Amino acid sequence: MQGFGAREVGAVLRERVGDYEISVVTKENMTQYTRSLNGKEIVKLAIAGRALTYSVSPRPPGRGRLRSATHLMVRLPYPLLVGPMDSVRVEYAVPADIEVKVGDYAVDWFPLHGIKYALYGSPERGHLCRYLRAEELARVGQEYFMRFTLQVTNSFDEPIRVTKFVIPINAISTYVDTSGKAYSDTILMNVIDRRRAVVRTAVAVRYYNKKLILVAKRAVKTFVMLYGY
Amino acid sequence: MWPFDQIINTAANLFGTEESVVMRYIMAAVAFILAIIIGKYLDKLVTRALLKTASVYVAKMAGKFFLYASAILGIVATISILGIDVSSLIIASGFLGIVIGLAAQSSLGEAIAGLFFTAEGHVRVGDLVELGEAVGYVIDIGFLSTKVRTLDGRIVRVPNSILISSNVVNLSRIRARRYDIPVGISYLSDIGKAVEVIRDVLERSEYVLAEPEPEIFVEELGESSVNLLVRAWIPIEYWWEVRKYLIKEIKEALDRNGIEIPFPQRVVWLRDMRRVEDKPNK
Repeated sequence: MQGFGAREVGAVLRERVGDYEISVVTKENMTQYTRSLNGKEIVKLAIAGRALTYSVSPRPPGRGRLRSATHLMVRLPYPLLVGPMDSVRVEYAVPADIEVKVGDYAVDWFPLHGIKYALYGSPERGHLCRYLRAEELARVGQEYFMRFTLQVTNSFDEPIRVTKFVIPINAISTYVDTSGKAYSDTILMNVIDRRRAVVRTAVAVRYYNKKLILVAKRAVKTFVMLYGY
Repeated sequence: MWPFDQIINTAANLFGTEESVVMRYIMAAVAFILAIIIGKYLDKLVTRALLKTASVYVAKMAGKFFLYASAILGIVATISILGIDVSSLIIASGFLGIVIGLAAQSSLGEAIAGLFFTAEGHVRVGDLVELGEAVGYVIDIGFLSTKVRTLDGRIVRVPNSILISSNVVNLSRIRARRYDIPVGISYLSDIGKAVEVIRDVLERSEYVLAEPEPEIFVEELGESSVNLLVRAWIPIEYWWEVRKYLIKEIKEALDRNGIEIPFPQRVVWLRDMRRVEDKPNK
């Protein structure tokens, strides 16, 4: 387990990334890339030329094979109770999607531990979402997780209980710091009433006193959660 | 003198008639041209509006209906302006209409049903629909019938009157659909373990939605098995795909964990066991 970043390929490179095993084998004038799960090859690719570098980068969770999934639903590890006109800021982590580059080419993109989806709202008007479970930051390992800050503001005159948030899939950007840790944009959630909350992203750099390098830029968008939170 | 008056005067002299007669001819021509222009405008308007919901054929036919109706009105107006008595013509066309209506009663019924069906907008070309037993994609909504290509590749023609009076389930308008799987386990098996094993299969399946959460519960105590019901929500585009492997995976997982799925069986109790046991063997 080496985390995000670039490494020298050498003759043979094997490493575990999440549930998968990755191997990069260089031959005279070609490089062979393989990704396996439980010993079964899932991706096998021959790349022309002898690659000298190999890198693993975090990517914001994508829609996977379900093209109609337009949003991300992130379920919190435990509910957040926020009083009227109060605000709370909590740090979480979610498994990042992984992009593998061999030499100059992006050869693979995969989720860390398989994909799950969820439906937000009713079957006819709701949104299909990529489903992620947020972990408490203290409980996750160093590698392959994406840290983010969730700030919940309660503008409603009653206490609210937040168990999840939903945001468009193309609203989150990803960053890495110099030690190879990944960060996503900060999520700002403003609860308006019992069923509605405005969710928007803010650039993560403002919330961390670190030099963050942008690796995947997405459009910042505002989303109104309509079916509860 | 205005140029228009001059033209009328010249035309009257040319045809050796009065100016008022020439004026009437011009009015008639203007009425006809105006009717055609309005008809064409309506044709475009209706076609464009219907193209959003109906097939190209229906949209064009509906547009043409307005064009022809406008043209007929234009002709009637033209004849009327020319001073010809149109009452007999209207009576004759009324009779003709009745005759055509009686002869093409069923076809007209289908056409009207088609128009209503299209106007309702419940189904569009390309939608996946369920019509009774048939499930397939709508490939054309015509005036008389709607054509559906079933998932096994057959093309089914459904008369519009049937569509308007029966249940048509549009599967393309929903994001996800529930799939119910009955699973019978032996009375000797541990229900809790079976539920756990099934839940694990659903958890590992990519297209079984995490929310709404799958449900697994004992539905009934059957004759030869404890019948569980598994309810899982699946994205509509993978609904048929998931059906293919989910039952197999549940069965294999139950087998691996030693949970028996019994075949129908009946335990027979004899009324007087002792007499049977005491009966000497011959």
